Amino acid sequence: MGEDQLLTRREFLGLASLMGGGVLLSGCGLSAEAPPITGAVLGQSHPLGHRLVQAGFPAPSRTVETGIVIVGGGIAGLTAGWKLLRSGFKDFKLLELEAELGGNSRWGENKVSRYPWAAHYIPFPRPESAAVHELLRDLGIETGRDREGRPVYDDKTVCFAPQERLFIHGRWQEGIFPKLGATEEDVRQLHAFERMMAGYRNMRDSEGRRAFAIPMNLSSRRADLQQLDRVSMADWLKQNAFNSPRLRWYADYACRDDFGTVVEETSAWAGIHYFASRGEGEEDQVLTWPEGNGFVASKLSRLLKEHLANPLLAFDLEETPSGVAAHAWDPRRRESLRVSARAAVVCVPVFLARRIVASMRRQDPAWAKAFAYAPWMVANLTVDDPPAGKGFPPAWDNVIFNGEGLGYVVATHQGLDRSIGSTVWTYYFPMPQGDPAKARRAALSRSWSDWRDLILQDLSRAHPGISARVRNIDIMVFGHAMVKPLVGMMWGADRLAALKPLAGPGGRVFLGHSDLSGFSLFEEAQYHGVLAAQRAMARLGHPFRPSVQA
Amino acid sequence: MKLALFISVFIIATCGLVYELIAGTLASYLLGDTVLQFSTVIGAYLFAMGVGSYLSRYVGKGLVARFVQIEALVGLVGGSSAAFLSIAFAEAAGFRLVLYGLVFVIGTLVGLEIPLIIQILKDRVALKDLVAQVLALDYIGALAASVLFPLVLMPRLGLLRTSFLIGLANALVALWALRIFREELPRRSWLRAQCLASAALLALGFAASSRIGAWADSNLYADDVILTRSTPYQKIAVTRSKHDVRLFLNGHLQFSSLDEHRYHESLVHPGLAAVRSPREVLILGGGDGLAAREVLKHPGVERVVLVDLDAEVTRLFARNEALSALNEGSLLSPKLTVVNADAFTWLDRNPGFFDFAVVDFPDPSNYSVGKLFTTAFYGLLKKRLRPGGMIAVQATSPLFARRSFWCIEATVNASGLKAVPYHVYVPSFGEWGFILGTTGPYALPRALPAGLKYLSTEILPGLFVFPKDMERVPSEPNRLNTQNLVQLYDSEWEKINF
Repeated sequence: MGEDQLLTRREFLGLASLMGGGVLLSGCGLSAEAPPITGAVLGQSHPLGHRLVQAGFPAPSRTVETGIVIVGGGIAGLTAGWKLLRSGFKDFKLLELEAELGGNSRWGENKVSRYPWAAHYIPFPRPESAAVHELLRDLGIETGRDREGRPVYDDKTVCFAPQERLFIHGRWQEGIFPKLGATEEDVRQLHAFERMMAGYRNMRDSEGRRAFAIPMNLSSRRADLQQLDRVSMADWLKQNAFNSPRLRWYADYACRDDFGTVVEETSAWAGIHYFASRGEGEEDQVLTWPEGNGFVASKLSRLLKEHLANPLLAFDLEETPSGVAAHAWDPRRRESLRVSARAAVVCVPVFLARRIVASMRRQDPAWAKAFAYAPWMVANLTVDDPPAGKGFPPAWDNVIFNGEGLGYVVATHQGLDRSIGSTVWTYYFPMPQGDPAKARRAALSRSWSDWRDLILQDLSRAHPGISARVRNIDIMVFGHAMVKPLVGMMWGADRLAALKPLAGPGGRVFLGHSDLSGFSLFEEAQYHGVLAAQRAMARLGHPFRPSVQA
Repeated sequence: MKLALFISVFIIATCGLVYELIAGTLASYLLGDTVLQFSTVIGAYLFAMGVGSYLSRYVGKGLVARFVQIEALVGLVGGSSAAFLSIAFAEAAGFRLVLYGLVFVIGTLVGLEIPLIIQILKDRVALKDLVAQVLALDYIGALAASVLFPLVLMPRLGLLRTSFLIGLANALVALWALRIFREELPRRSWLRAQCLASAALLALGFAASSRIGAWADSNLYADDVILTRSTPYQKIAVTRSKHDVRLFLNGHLQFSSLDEHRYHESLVHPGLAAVRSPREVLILGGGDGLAAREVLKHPGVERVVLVDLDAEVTRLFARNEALSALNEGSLLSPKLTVVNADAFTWLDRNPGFFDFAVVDFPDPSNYSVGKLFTTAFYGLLKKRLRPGGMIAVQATSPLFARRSFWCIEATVNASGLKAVPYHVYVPSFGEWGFILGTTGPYALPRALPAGLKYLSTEILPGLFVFPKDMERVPSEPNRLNTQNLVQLYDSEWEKINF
């Protein structure tokens, strides 16, 4: 032992840092010992889709004959096929690029649960949505009528309680409107807003049309209502002295959730439609399934099995003197084929129709540029022992106040069993701001780990330590997820022009897609799909009982 | 030797802080309110350390020997503190007094340590360096404790083992000091014996940690715990006193063997005895086999299917002798098939027909169990009933949760069955309610099976009479999309503050 010094300075510092640092390191190492999260960014077929822009497909090596060719296998295309089949028109083919049908209603499945990739519910249809009722009856979802004549749905498909909760001020509350910590003025404005929406909900014009109907085409044409399309939802709120930041957040959330747009650029007509088009009280409920609207898509795909041709990329559609000719690329056989038909139902978004339909390609219609699209990212997270959090218990839809994304939907919520163990959360992240093309490029170039960090960071606001419970994150980026109901889109000249029959010598090509409604709703997709199918049958002289009216 | 001394200081410091964290953790576990418990425990501990530091001036001769003894004592008292407090919580009335008393004793002893070390070394080292280095290591030790305790020790070892292990570390420091200063110490063997005794006791405690834990747990229940199991679904505990056996799931009483016959006879026989020649019976829930025991008293019953979520419960009640004595071996009956599955999904996927179904689920206290009290569930069950068949549902207390009870009645009615409510007094539960759901008109049974302890045809009619304070209140049926029952139940039991 040194006589005057216990340890030299050097010895002491070495020892001290060894002890302190060693302990800290071992602590950190141990705290991060959770197994790594697996997952991937799953392919939409954008590389293949982008070939539409570059063209350059080989000449067809064979020809297929059919009566009607449907291009596109989203809800519009599937319900067009459904209408043909129900009308006894069996000679048709449906061309779809993706391996799975459903478009925005596609779904996935893992060991834990089925889960949606995008659309995940259908609101209880009101009486004027006759075609939706017809479809739901046909698929066994609407099982009958009660004594008062109200539709009865299979209990298992009506969203179970509790439906919605919001994370705010460190805890969960019931419902989406941020009530926790709201001022009296916030609540007063919410009630005033709800009263106005109820007024719109029950309003009918002199012709008996609802002010805001689903399908939107059945809405009143009254000028004062259509004026609402000329202002943004944000301006409309201001004009009506709604300045509560919470009410504004609520309206903005609704727009981002349903349309992928922010309140500043959303048409007030569309924003109000969200609140005023559905039923109220007992009728304000939704139908849902673990796989979301994938349930309906897969039922329809099974129904149309013999008519499906996928994966096939239709890259050209031209009227011929006696009918139509569709050219499609078969990515598996690496060959082109020609589908020769008597009429075509084009159930793809406008931005794709512009590339496929020859007449549109030759002369791009002036209205086509009005159709803008919001990019989205959707992630499905497999979560072990999902945390409940403080306050109101886990619901179907779980929203984080001022969160980055829209929150998450629990796939196993609609299960009959007591959810124990693991679940799948579907996390929605629209990218409404800025230039869509730029946002799209940025979104498509993000790596899986970038997305993972963003998602986990957002979720950990409400669920600290969530990373340790997440086992897998699969991600899909939808570059053109939905058409944007921008100011002027809903009742402006462009959308109305798009509704007119396409120019063509024989009038044999019919557009049918939710784009034509200005917003991407299941009911609108079905409306336009069925309408286009009806028009094609009418053109070919095939008799049918109309499900929808133009 | 220098190194040895420094490592000792580091260990002492680490141990000192861990004792403080143990006391804080236990206090917040047992008493709740983490902020309050940690604040007061830390405050009391630091104050006690101050007292210890002050007292160090009175340690005169034999500094090294005192230091060795204090280490051995800190190890013993601090190391057994977690075990002592867990047991004290169940046993002692003034737990807070015991807690702060113990914190004070440990704090005082720990407060003595550093001043003593400084005194021991003050003649051998320059004071400037001594104070600087010893105190610096003291604080580094504190950092080590604050990292190791939550991240390594607690998750790996649990509270009791951590506590004993840290005590052992203190005792080892004592033995080590004994070795380092061997030349200066008189009566070394006596000191060594003290240190070894302390270490031995702590090692014993470490080895017996799980038993001590179980014993402490058992004191949370009124009687001896004869069995505990944790399953993915729940924590099972069975207790026994002189005269009865009780089953607890997640701490909630499921039955007492003294009066469970009142409950299970009433659940099964008013319905089953009223069904004409029942042959096949379904039991949903009821993994304890007690409802099955009653069902098997009907000689005509040929087949019983029992669906219970938790395989551990059905396994225990089939295999454990004390438990299968209660259900008279019903789960081993050749007539009975056990299915471990969720009742709702099982029912949805397995068509088959029954004459009678017993529906014995826990009360609808959350949305997940609430699904089993819905129109959809009873509707599904109705489809599995033969003509003339019926169901009997445990429907919580019509006295304590009156609106919940009548909500279940409305739900059974809305599912297309005819609801027939009745109730019975079960001393360990209080007034309890059941609801029959019948496919046809209900008539009281004229005869009951032999060997019942409570029910008789004479008292049966009285079960169906509801006194004023339990009378029907109008209610909306409980549906999957509303689950109004869960909210009702929550508000009603909250009022009673159980």
